[in-house]
Amino acid sequence: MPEVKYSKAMKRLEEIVAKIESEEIDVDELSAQVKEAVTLIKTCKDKIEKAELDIKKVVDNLDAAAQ
Amino acid sequence: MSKEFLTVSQLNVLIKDVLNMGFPQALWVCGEVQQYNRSKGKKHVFFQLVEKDPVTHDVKACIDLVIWEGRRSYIESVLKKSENAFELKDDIEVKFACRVDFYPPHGKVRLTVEDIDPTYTLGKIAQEKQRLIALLKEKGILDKNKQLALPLVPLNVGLITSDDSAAYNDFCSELKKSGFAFEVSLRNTIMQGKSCEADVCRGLDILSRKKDLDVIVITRGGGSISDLSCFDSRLIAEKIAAMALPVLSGIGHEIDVSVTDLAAHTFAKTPTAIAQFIVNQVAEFLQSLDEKRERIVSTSQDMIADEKQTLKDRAVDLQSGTTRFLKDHNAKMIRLMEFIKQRPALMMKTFSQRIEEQRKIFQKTVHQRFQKDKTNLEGLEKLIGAFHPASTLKRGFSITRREDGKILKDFTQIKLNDTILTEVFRGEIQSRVTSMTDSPKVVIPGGPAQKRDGK
Repeated sequence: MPEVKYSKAMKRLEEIVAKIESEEIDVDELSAQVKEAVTLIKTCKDKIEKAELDIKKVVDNLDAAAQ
Repeated sequence: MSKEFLTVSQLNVLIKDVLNMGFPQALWVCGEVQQYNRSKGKKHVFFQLVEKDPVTHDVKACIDLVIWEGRRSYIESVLKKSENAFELKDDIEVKFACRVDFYPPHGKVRLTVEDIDPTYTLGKIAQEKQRLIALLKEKGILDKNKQLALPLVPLNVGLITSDDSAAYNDFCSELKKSGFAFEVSLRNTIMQGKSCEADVCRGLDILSRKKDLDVIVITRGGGSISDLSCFDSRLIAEKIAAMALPVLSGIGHEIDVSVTDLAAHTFAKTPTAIAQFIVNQVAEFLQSLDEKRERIVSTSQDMIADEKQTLKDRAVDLQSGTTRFLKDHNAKMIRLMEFIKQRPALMMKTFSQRIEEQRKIFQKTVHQRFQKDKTNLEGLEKLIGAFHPASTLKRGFSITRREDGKILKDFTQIKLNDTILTEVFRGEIQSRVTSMTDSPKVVIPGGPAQKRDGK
């Protein structure tokens, strides 16, 4: 699976949510969309965790350099 | 004409007597002093007063004068009392109280000076000076040199003064005292008397050709007004105005400002004072350098400190900002996850409920529909039942036919002895017409009028 940009994933996720929220969605589509949403959420969460970790590392380096 | 005669001496004495009678009192006489130095070192002073043409300056008249030794000290004391303004010398305008006298041995008229009015000379000098100042001002000569910028560090000084004067020593020692590396280029100059004006101008010319000078200074010590009057010079002022370098003047006098001072870039009262001005100029430059260095150092230190603090703040902002950002996104993800977890199930439930409702509605609708059909059908059945001939027969009606099978509907369709067939409920009867009676007119409600009804 190609790397999805966070913002793109988020946008798609919001689309799906909006669709489900407005109940425009077809039952046929629902499970496919939910599956996609779950995958997107996982991707986004992974990205956030990774960013958090990276930032912590970088800031730690900065603190170490400042001392 | 008488043959008597007089000897020259007798004549001269006679002339003397006549003159003395003619001028019994002293007179005030004004004129320009000339040949005053002739009697230098002598007890009595012999000199001349002249009157010149104001335009051509040619001598119009002159007369000899004498100040006797006995009067000389009095005259000098009068001059001293008048603010020591001037001393008697050539070229100055004076006003003497004199007796007109005749000196028999020389046969010459001369004036014996008894008193002097110094205010006259001072007034003349001042008048002359004011006229000159007004003229120079009008021509803009007094402002020319002031428009030049003084060099920031005037260390190379061209000096116009007399090398054996106190002014020279005062000026140089003041510069030396400062400890700065002043370079003085002296132009030894006559600083008083007739030659002063031309020599100062020459000095300015020579120094103006010298390279690397920062300023030129004209200086001399104090003196009487007439000593210094050579500096009330149009030529010097014009020369200063034409200079490319700033000209400073320190001409020692307390009472008055000379024309040279007015034409100079800056002037001070004494040689020491003008030297101090130059020293201050250099000192101020050094001071400003120190201040600038100080400012550069402190400003840059402040800037570095500020930047450091800003960097620190930014690092903190970055950390807290990203933490908040990620936290927000995490919370959002959790919300989304909850949504995705719950909402579809909820939806499915809603769908199921809706299907159930639909089913119920459908069922009800179908039931109602059947019910309605059934009722309709029953109605129809009843209606149909009511119209069935058997029902009519059952109620007691019958159908009568002729032998040919045609239904007998009218009395006229039958005659005696005809065989008729009568259909009744649950059977048929065959009969013969034995009698016939016509019945009265019958009206059927809703139908056409019937004449007879047959059975």
